[in-house]
Amino acid sequence: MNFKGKDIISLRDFKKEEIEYILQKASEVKEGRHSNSLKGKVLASLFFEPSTRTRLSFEAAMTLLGGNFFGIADPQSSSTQKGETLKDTIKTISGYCDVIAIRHPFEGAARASADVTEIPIINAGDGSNQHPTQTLLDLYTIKEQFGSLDGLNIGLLGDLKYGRTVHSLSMALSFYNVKLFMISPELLKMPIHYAQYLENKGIKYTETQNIFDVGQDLDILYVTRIQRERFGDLQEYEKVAGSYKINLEVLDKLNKKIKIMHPLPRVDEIDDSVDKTDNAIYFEQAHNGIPVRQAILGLVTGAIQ
Amino acid sequence: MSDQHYRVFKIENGTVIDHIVPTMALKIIDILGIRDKGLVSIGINFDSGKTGKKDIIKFENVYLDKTETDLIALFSPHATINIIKDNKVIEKRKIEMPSVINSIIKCPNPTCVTNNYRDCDTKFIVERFDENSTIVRCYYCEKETTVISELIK
Repeated sequence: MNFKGKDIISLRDFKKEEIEYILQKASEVKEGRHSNSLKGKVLASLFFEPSTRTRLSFEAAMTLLGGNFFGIADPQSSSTQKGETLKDTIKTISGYCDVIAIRHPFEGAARASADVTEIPIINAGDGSNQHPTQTLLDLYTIKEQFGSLDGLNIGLLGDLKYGRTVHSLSMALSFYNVKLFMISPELLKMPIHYAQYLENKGIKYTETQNIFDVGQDLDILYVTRIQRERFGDLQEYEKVAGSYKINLEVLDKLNKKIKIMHPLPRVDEIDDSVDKTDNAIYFEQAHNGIPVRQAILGLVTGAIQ
Repeated sequence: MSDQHYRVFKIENGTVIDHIVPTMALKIIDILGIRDKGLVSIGINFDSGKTGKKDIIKFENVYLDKTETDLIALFSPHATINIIKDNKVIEKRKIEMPSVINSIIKCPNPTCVTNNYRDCDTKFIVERFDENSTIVRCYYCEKETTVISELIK
């Protein structure tokens, strides 16, 4: 399968075989194969919106396979502040690197970037739209834990309206034989067009506001943060924030073998006491960002076949 | 010469768009543009046996291609296209909904990249349509929307 030059923009663009291929390559990287494969390659890491783990994980992934990176970590310091358009920024930077990872507050920014360059563009999050590399590391983590994605009952909890990770993840899970449980306040339900997408793909899903309605049936609970910055109205934020807090007491009422995932950073939606339980896999999940992004960087630059 | 000819001139060569949903003619002109090669006649709210009222547009000496006339599907899916050469109809064309619509619709999502950079033009994928509505998906922000006349640039 040839990924050289391919953009990683949205789960919408993927075939199941392509997802499986990336996960397989990530396993190989984690086993220690493909070392130094990115030697001589340069990543431009363009973060027009604050990020810690995604940016550092891309940069670490590049460095650990022998490549180099440069980038924008603070949009205030870039020439976009002088009124340069995104496309001009991309056209210019394309001459300096082999691959670009971009995070941007506007939905569609990664796709618009890909329109103007032959260099592969990796979407590291575009507004509330997509975050495909997070999804691939989520899938990798689930597969690592359960051996397969098929046959699982997966709960998505929290901000399903604005949370781009759950949008990407639910699209990816539509390739597998899973049952989805959407657990959110009414105000933060999954947008209708994603729900429609799942229906069109024949995926069974249940919507509920109460985690205890479904908690005994779940193999995985994917918790998301309710993000303050997505709310225009702070009163609305206060109304829903913290309404789904996972602590030992809540955990006790869920399936004993449930695995708790979270894209991080968390605020207070998972209590620290949960970290030490066998149920918590969110730090392993974050660490899997490295092999998965290494595999992606290697594949799109042609360094890994 | 009959009254009919005075209302919208007969053309010897060019494109006739007939049976347009009443009052949509100006919107269609907005999309197709007024060509500088010939006369453009527009009739609004003409009597029609089929639909009661209709609009009609005639482009003299301009042959619109199918890609252009298919854009009319958004506002008037049952309009008919006649291509005229030397006073004869040489092609009767039906309108088909295009699969992709470039430029003419604006994205209703305020944080879509197309609404925030001057050099990002819009592009929509037609997801589904019927008699009453057309649902499109923004190629960039991926949000779906129903096409309404307020979204036409």
